[in-house]
Amino acid sequence: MSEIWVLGEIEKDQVKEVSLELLSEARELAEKRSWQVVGIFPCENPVEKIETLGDYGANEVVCLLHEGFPHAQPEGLSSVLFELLAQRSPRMILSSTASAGRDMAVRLAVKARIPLISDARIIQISRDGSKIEVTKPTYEKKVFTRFECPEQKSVVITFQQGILGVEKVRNPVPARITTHRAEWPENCNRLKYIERFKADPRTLGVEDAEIIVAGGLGTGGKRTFDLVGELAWTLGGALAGSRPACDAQWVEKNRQIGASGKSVKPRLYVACGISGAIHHTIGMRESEVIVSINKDANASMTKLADLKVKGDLQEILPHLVDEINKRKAEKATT
Amino acid sequence: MKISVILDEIAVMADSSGFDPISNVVKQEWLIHGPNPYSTAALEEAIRLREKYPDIQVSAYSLGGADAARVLTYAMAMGADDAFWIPAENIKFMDLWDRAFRLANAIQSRGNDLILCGRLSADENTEELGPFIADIIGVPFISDATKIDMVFAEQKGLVWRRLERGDRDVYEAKLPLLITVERGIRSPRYVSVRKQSLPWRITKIEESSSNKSSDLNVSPVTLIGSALPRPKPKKGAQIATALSAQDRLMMLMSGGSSQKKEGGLVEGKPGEVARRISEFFEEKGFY
Ligand SMILES: Cc1cc2nc3c(=O)[nH]c(=O)nc-3n(C[C@H](O)[C@H](O)[C@H](O)COP(=O)(O)OP(=O)(O)OC[C@H]3O[C@@H](n4cnc5c(N)ncnc54)[C@H](O)[C@@H]3O)c2cc1C
Ligand SMILES: Nc1ncnc2c1ncn2[C@@H]1O[C@H](COP(=O)(O)O)[C@@H](O)[C@H]1O
Repeated sequence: MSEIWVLGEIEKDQVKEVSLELLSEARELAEKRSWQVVGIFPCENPVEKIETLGDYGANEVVCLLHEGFPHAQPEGLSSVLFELLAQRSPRMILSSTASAGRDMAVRLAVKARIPLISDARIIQISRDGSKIEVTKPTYEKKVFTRFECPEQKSVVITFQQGILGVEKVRNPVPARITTHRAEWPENCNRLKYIERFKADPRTLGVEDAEIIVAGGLGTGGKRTFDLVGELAWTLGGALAGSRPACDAQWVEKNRQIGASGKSVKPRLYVACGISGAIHHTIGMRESEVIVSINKDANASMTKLADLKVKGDLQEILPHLVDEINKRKAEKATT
Repeated sequence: MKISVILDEIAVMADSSGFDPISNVVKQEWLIHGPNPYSTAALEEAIRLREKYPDIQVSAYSLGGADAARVLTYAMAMGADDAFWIPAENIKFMDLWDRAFRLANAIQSRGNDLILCGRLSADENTEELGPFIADIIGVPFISDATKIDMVFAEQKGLVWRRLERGDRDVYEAKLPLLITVERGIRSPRYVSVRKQSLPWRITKIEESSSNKSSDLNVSPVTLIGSALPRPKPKKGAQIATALSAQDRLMMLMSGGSSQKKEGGLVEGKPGEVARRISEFFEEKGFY
């Protein structure tokens, strides 16, 4: 019987959303062919209630336990994954394009010398399961290119979070759990993990940020602009500004977004008091999620936004920072 | 001490009309060619290391046709010590393992301590070439580096790997080593057109017949065609039919939210509005 694997990721003792998406996709692909969906989770400690991944389509979950998994033992982990792959020859291995998922995917593909298709959008399998076709964007997403995978061989495919979506199965069965203590040969320890360095949002460059909170002329002055900064730090994001905000020196010039500033594509862009002139939006319109806070509901930025907030930012921002801090604190205690 | 940098040229499509949906081909005249900014960032990093450790030699490598020769000229103008061109036609249709194998062969026979390449190429974004080369040569690799701190005297160094939200993992590794770098690691120096048009010496490497990529025993993926983006609906998301086809497409392509441009206005008392916004952030996993 063929297997589809999902290389799963855990964050703060919880299965990451993208892993659930990958499981849902694997389920859909496996369904018609009575293939098995296997979630492979490298982690430091057993994860509670992991059998509930059956709800998302996993038939089996394999926990690979080792201190420092996955990031601190990249080579050891790939060696363990490779051994498992050699035993079970899955037809397909799905992983995420996040830093952890991609590293596992690339290292496994390299070690097993199997093809890898990164940042895919669509997987199609012929009815008998012998042919796999994968479509992915090329030329900065302007064109889709289709690839055919070799028959009789495993293939690794990665997806970005948010592309596939999550779907629970209708009649879920708890997943079988197997747990392995991971071991690997000494020669797989060529990289020594030193430490994780947590970014300080205050110094994080806008190019590097996944969350950007930007302020414009609508903030009305340096003092209110600092409220925008508060929101940025609270979300762990970087601060940015429109040109007039940078010209007024409320924020450094190297944080200007737009035609004469920087182009960014963060996961979240919060625009506070920015009208959305083309010179500005050209630098941020490819952001995944856009939130606009503006007192003018007809501002261009508001039209562009996924969440459109009409109101005075001077009133909203202090409440918003408090609310997020409160929720974060609640999350931490539960 | 040698640093090898592998560089390529990328083609940027001026806009989506550069693709002919009837014949399903990319129109060559719509492509703007230039050095891959990730790979010039890698070269810049190598040159900076040489400024610190003068006995380092920086060699540039590229595989391809006239594009590869062009990017090597650019590399020499930037300050590489020598440049090696591995001629090959139609590399866009060549399997990655095959590409990696040819580059690895060329690099390996010239002796190496550190190999640098870009994290990806912006047109194809495969991200695997570097790791494949490392594996063929038999050296470890670290990808997505934003900072490299080498102590050549001790044959080792520290590498910062980019994670989400600006976090970094720091690894220590001994040489030889391959690192793929993020674009932001260095801003490549400006190269004047005059400098680019000087007669730089590029060494052409004829393929050695002793090693064949078929020895690798990998089955490649095959490119079977291109098309305009064709979305597949996201699970669990309601696609608003009110959206135009273009917007629906953008929504799927961005991998973004299902609410794009359809949600109503959030307004009301500041406290209530703040609660709605934070709920939205939480739903999307932003904190
Ligand atoms: C060649 C050229 C290059 C340019 N390059 C850039 C560039 O790189 N980057 C850039 O940003 N601009 C650039 N511009 C300028 C650009 O055209 C706009 O003028 C600029 O982006 C407007 O900035 P803004 O949105 O901050 O200000 P405004 O357009 O004045 O918008 C302020 C917004 O804040 C809202 N507002 C006011 N008070 C409040 C409140 N209390 N609460 C909530 N909302 C409030 C208003 O409704 C309004 O929508 C360029 C222009 C030119 C000609
Ligand atoms: N044909 C090539 N010749 C030399 N280097 C290349 C070539 N293609 C890609 N590279 C390098 O490999 C990196 C990753 O490319 P890719 O795997 O194609 O995304 C690029 O940033 C370049 O540094």
